[in-house]
Parts: sequence; structure tokens; C-alpha cells
Amino acid sequence: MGPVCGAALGKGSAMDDERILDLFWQRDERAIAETSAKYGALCGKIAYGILGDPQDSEEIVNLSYLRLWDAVPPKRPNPLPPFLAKIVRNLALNRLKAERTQKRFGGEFALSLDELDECIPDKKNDRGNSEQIRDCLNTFLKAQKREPRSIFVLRYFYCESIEEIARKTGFSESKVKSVLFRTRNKLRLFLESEGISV
Amino acid sequence: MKHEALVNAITMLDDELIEEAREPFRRRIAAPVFGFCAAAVCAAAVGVFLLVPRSGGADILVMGQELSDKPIAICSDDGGDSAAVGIRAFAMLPTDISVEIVSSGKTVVNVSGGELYIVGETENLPAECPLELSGDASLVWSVPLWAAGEEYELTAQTGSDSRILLVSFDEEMQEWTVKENTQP
Repeated sequence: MGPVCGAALGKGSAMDDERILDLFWQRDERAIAETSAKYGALCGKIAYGILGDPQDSEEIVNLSYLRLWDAVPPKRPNPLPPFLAKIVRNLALNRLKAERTQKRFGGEFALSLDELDECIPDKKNDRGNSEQIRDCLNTFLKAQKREPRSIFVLRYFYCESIEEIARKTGFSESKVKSVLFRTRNKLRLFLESEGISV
Repeated sequence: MKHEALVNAITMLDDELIEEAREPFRRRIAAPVFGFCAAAVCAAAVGVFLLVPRSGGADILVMGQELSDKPIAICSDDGGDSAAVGIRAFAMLPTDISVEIVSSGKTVVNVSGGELYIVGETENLPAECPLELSGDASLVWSVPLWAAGEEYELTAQTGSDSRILLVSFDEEMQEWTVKENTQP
């Protein structure tokens, strides 16, 4: 990954999530600093994976902290990381849509999107119900073994590169590609069996 | 955006899946030792198998066992993951069956359903059927075991001899099984 989100990528803090949420609830601005210190790298990776641009990614990460600030309270997300990761992903995807009209987007996300292309049972009907697909995806992934399941999530949710996933899992890159390929094939069949056309 | 619904669905995945993916993986330090042992066991099995005089056609090992008219139960190798346990009467996802072909000549393999993969060669893509093999080969047959009434066949033709693997649901065993189809 490139040099992402300089100021947003704090390091070293490991404040408990409960304590971080307390700070948000107390409207203490240290909440953002602590979130950045603990989850800045994660957020930066997601944003960079989708946008492929360090500057845009940094903006999105900082914007995500503000969204988190607005959301907590009233919310008290437990666990915190997926909640934050979803905010980052949504904001980055929205930015990507805007950027796409200006024809400048790329990054690991564009690659992962091409891979997912083969999961689409009916390309002519490029519409679908996200909630229904999400339910199917959750069911499908929970029926998988832990390794292919997490590899899928790392690739398509966190937009991690094959190389990064290989490093994390201890698999070779070709093994990771193979696992992803087979999982996508299974997903395609599963979506078809559920009558889903995305 | 291309396939927006799918992208949005991935964004909305369950928190537990998103969390789990960040947890450390079991490192595969013991893999070379295990791999060596597994390879040795397989080699021994194939060696013993080759010593047994056989009728015509390729010799076939299914999930490490010699193919015969005795049904071999297909069990999900879930590795302890509860959600994937036991395909039994109904499996939502295609099931992988390892098939070892031992043949000195050309063997043509065909399947009536599912997809064939050649281990170590076209692992990323299903092989085109009929598949021509020259000599030994390790295959994975990915079969959708969705309805107990379904049957699938894999035919291995070597010269004029052919052997047929039949995957079907055994009502007595209440399991999906593989066995040799000896009926014409």
C-alpha cells in the first residue's frame, strides 16, 4: 500500500474501545485522536484500497471520524471496528462514484470489482436488492470454512491485495487466488440457486 | 457503479464476519511436515494400489480409497467449522471430490455434471470436458449435491475400457456416496 493518510495514521495506542466510546459520549475530542491512533491504519487501508489515492484516502478517513463523532452518541457500536470500517467504505464508495464521472479511479477496489464480475448470474439485469444479497452473502459466507471466508472478506470488504492476504494467511499468492476463485464460483452458484440476479 | 447492489451488500456484511477477518490466521508452520507425511501416505497408497493386478481401464482412487462397487461416503472436510459440517442429504454448495487417475495410457474423462479441476495445473479454472489425460492425474470433481434424487457420473475411458464413478444419495446410509457403476 502507498503512503496513506499521514496525519490520520497514528500508531501505538491501544486504548480500549469501551473507553474510546466513553470519550465520544462525553463529547471529548480526544475520542477522535484515540480512534485515529488505534484504527487509522485500518481505515486508511480500506479507503486507499477503494480509491487508490493517498490524498483522497486521507480525506475520507478524516471525514469518517467526523461521521463517527456524529453517530456516537446516540449509537454505541459494539464492536466498534466494523462500524467504523463500514463508514469508511461507504464514504470511499461515494467518493469513487463521484470520481468515476471524472474518470479517475483505480486501486485494489477496481481489481476486486472485476473479479466479482464473474459472480453475477445475470449481467443483463444489473439490478438487485442489496439487503437480499447481503442476507445471501452472510448465509453463504457463514457456511464456508474460516480461511476462505476471511480471505473473501479481506479481499472484497477490506480491499486488501493478494500479496497482503498471502502474507497474513501464510498461503502462497497463487493459493490465495485459487481460494478466491473457488469461493467466487461457489458464490455465483449459490446466488443462482437463490434466484438472485445482481 | 458496476454491480452496485453487490458492492453495497458487501459493505453491509455482518459485523462478526468483518471482525473475524482481522483476527490472526493459524500460521502454517507445520505444513511442510504435514505435506510430506500426506504425500508419503498417498504415494504408499498409490504404490500398493499399483501392485494389485487389475482389469482393464484406469485405476481410480476416490478420496484416497480404491474405487469399487462398495459405496464410499462423501463427508464434508469441515475441519471443525460447525457451519460446514455434514453435507448429508442436502448441501447448499458444490462438494469437492478428489479423484486420482492412475493410467499408463491416454484416458478421456467426462462428467455428467459439476466441474472438473486438475490439481496443480488448471486449479484456477475448470477443465474443459471431455478431458484428455496422458498418464496419471489428480483431479477435483466439484459436484452440486443439492437434491437427493440427483445422480452424477464421471467416466474415465482408457482405450476400450471405461470405468464409471457414480455419485448418488444412499438412502440406507443417509449419505452421499461414490461407487463404481458396474451396470452397463
